[in-house]
Amino acid sequence: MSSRGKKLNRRQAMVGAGTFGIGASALAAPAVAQSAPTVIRMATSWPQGLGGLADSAQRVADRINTISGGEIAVEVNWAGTLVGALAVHDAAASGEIDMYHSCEYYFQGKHRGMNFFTTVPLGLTGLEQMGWIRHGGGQALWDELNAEFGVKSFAAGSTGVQMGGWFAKEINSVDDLKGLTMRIPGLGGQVLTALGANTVVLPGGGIVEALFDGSIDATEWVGPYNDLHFGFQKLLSSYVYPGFHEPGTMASVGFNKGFWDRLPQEHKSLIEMVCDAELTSHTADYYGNNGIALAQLLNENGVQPTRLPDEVWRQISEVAIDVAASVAEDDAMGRKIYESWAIYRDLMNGSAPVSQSAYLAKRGAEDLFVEV
Amino acid sequence: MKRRTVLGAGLGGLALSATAVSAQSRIPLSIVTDMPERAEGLARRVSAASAGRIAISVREAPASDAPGFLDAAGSGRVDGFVAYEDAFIADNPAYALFSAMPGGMSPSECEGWCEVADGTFFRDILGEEHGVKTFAFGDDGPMPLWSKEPLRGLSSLTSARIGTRGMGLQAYREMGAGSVEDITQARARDLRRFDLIEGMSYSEMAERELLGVFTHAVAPNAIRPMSTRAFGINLAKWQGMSPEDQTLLERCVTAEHGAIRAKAKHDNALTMRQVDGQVSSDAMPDDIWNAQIAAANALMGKMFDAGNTAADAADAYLYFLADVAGWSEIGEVAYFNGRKEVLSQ
Repeated sequence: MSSRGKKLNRRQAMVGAGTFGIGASALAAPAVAQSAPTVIRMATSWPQGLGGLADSAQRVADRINTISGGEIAVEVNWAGTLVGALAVHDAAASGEIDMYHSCEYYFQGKHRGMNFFTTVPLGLTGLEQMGWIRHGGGQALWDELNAEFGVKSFAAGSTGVQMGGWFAKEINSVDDLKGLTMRIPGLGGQVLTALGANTVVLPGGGIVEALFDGSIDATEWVGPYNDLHFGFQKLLSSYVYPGFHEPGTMASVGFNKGFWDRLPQEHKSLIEMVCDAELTSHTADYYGNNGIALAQLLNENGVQPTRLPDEVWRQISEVAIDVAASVAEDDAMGRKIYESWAIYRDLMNGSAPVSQSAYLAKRGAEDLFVEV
Repeated sequence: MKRRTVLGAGLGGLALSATAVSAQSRIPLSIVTDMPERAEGLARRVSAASAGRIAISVREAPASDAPGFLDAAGSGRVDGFVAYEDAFIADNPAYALFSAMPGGMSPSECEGWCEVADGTFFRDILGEEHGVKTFAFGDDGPMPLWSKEPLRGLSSLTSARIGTRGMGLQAYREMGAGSVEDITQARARDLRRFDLIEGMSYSEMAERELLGVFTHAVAPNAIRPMSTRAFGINLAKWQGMSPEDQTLLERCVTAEHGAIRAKAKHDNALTMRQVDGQVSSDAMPDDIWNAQIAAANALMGKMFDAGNTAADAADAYLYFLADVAGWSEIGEVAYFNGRKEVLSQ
C-alpha cells in the first residue's frame, strides 16, 4: 500500500471516531458513510507543537474537516515529515502535496515579489496588509505571480508586528550589526546584509540548534509568545524592538493550482471561509499570547527589551525603503507589485491619526484604570 | 421596515451532492439588525459555505430599536441580531467591554482577550443570562470625535450639544458636558443640530453627508477606542445545532468579522484621502483626553457595583489589559511611531 493510502486509512479512522471534540453521532449523517472524503495532503513550514503558526495550520485542517462533515479530509504533515519546511511551495507546484501552510517570503528565491504577500520592512501592519490583499489589488497580483508556478494561495492571518530580534550584545549603532550572523528571512535579511551583517534563513525548528552550535549569533522569529517557548532568553541577552523587518507577517495557505481548480465550488467556498476566519483567530492568538508571554519574560525571566536608538532606526529605515523599492527593478511583475503596494502604504499612512495605533500610543501601558 | 432574504445567492453550493444536502436538515435563521448590509454579507457567506442549507433572512430595523434586539433574540421572537452590544448596557454594562469601553482595549487587544484568555468565557456568561450566544462581528476601528468647530479645550464641551452612544452618554455626563443625547434615537437629518457627535466612522459620516458639517475629526478619542459589533443567536437555537453547523456558523461569523475590519480600515482611509482639505484632522486637546480618562475610570468603577457578572468580567478585562497593553506599546505602537516618522520625511 502506498504511503498515501496508509494516511488515508488513518484519516478515515480518525474521522469515524469524531475529531476535534465532535461526537461520532454528529458525523453519522448518510453523506459521511456514502462517499469517501476528498483527501488533501497539507504540508507545513512549522514543526508540530509550535504555538501560533502550527496551531493555525492544525485549526485550518480541523475546521475544514469538521464543517465538511467528512467530505474533505485535510491531513497535516509537519515540517520535514513529507517535505522540508521551506520546500512546500515547490512541492505544491509539482503536485507532490496538494496544500501548504507557510509564508510566501520563504520563496523569494523564485521572485522577490513573494515578500509582499508576507511582509515588507517598514511596510504594512497585519490589518493594512489584509486591506491591500482584499481591496487594494493585492490578491490579483498574488494570483498572477503564483500562476507562473502553478500555485494558488490565500491569506490566513497574521503574526502581527514582530520584535526586532535577539542579540548577544546591545545594538547601539549600525556598526554593531556588521559581522553578525543572524537568522532573518525575507527582505529584512537583505536590509541587514546591506548593512554588513551575514544573514541566513532557517526554519523555526532549526534556530535553537544553530545558536548552540554557533553557526548564528543573532536571530529573530516572531515575538514573545514563540521566543519564550524557544528559550531565546536563556541564550541571548539583548532583546530589541521595534522590529523594522516584519510589521505584519501574513501566513498563507497555498494549493497546487490544478488541484484547486478541480475542487467543487462549495469546497472552495468552505476553504476560503476557513482561511478568512484565521485573519481573526490566528492574529488574535499571537496578539493575546504575545502580551501574556511578554509579561512572563519581564517578570519571571528578567528580560529587559531595549529600544533601538533613533539614529539606528533611521539608518535601517533608509536602507529598508531602498530594498523594498528595488524589487520594482527586478522585472515588470516586481514593478507592478511594488507600485500597487507602495500606493497602499501611503493610503494607510495617511489614515494614521484615527488608527488603533494612534489610540494605543496616546493611551500608553501604564496606570490604566489606576483609580478603579 | 424591510425584510430581506438571502437564499443561496451566488452559490456554487448547488453542485453539492443531493445526498449530502438532504442528509442534514435545513436551518432557517431570522435575524434583526440596523446594519442590513453587514448582516447580508454574513447571510451570503453562510449560504455559500453550507450549500444553501443554512438560510439567514435579514430584517432591517431602525437603530433606535437596537436596545430591544437582545430581548427579541433571547425570548425567541427572532433567531438572532447584528448590533453594537453597547446598545445593551442598560441590561448589563459589561456589554460595553465587548463593544466600546472608554479608555479600554483596542480591537486587537479585545480579540486577544477573547481568543486566548477569558473574554469569550465572560461573553458566554453574559449571553446565557439573556438567552443568547454572541460573537464579535466586525469593527470599524477607533472613532474620532466630530466637531463643527475646533476644540479649544474642556470648556468647549460645557455648552456644546453632544450626540454619542453607548458608554459615551455616561462618560460625557461624568465630564460635566451640558447636553448629551443618544444619536441612535435621533433621525439622520437631526444629527446636524449637534455641535459634537461620535460613534460614526469617516465612511459613515460621508454616507450621511455629514462631513461638510462636522469638519473637524478630533483623535485619539478615548471614549470609543473600538467599535465592535456582535452577531447574537438565540441560545436554544444555537444549542440545538449540530457541532458541524455550530462550527460552520462560528467560522463564518469570525471570517466576516475580520473581513469587515479590513474593509472598514480601507474605506475610512479612502474617505480620509477624498476629504483631505475639507475635514481637518485635529489632535485631541490634552485636558479633554484627561477628562475622558477620568470618566473612563469612573465608569469602570461603577461596573464593579453592577452585579457579579459585570464585576467579574471587568476584573478579568483589567487583568488581561495589564498584560496586553505592554505588548501593544513595544510592538504596534513602537513600530507605528517609527514608521510614521520615517514616512513623513
